[in-house]
Amino acid sequence: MPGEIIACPDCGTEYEVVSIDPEAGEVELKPAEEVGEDWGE
Amino acid sequence: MVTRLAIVYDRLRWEEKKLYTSAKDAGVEVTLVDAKTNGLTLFDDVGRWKDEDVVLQRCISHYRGLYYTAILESMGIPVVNSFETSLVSGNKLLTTLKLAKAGVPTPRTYAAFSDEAALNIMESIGYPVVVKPIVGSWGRLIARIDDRDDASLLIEARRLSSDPLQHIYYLQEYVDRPPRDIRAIVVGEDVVAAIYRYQPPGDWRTNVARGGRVEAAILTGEQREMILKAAGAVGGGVLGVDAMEAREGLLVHEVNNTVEFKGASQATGLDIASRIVDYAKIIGSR
Repeated sequence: MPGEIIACPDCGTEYEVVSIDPEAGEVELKPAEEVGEDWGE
Repeated sequence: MVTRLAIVYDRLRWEEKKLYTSAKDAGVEVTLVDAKTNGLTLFDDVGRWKDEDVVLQRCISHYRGLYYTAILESMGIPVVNSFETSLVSGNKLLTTLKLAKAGVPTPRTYAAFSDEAALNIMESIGYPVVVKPIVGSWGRLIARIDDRDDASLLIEARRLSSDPLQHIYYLQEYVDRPPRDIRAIVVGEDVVAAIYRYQPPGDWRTNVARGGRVEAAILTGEQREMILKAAGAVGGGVLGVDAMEAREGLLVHEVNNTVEFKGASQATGLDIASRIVDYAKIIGSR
């Protein structure tokens, strides 16, 4: 789902899903935002 | 009448996906809005937001969510949680002030505005002392200070921080409690779920984000009353109220604004997301 965060199984780097094209079987990713000090519940 | 709901997020977690599917299942017209890529005008142009009856603000960044809420409310759009609730519950110092004023039992807390004053307070109240950042959660940057050496190390680390909030010290007595605390999920006037959060081995903090185990909790009537009083003290809405079972009774130590409820949903089997959507529908229909 666009907006979801996935982690690289090898290095753990997080990426955000930008778009999904099921027909082409392609997922566009961008590096996820780094954790901010004001992040939380 | 069909409710039109926007869920504003900046990182799509299990909770936001669950809220989205629950809203769809409830026949709500729901859209997901990424706050990172959807800026807002500060002038009187409601734009796309005119179609929304209510907004669920679910940003993981406190300040992003807070100011997004301010702008939406200025357009006349109801937001869950409100700006006032977000401002207070996203800030531990303001939360403690509200809890104390409302007569909600909370750990004894002190504020210091210089390194020297922080050390003096820690020395005078005695160790251990708990030091927390006033903004932030998941147990990050929370420290249990056991002696003067620990205190000096913490102060030195904070002195190097460029974050002005790190130079405001929020100091709390260490509460002797069982190796667990209570997380209660409040939606409007109801405590819809409660769990015990057990501290993981080798850690004194109970946050689920730190690996703490959870199990369903059954609260007494008195405990529920205290939890609701705490939620009301910060302005009410959808909140996660954290409390400790101290010797003298329940002590509320935190109220969380964009509460995570995956652990509570799984431990209790309750459909918390649907309760939140129902509450948003009520707010949107006012």
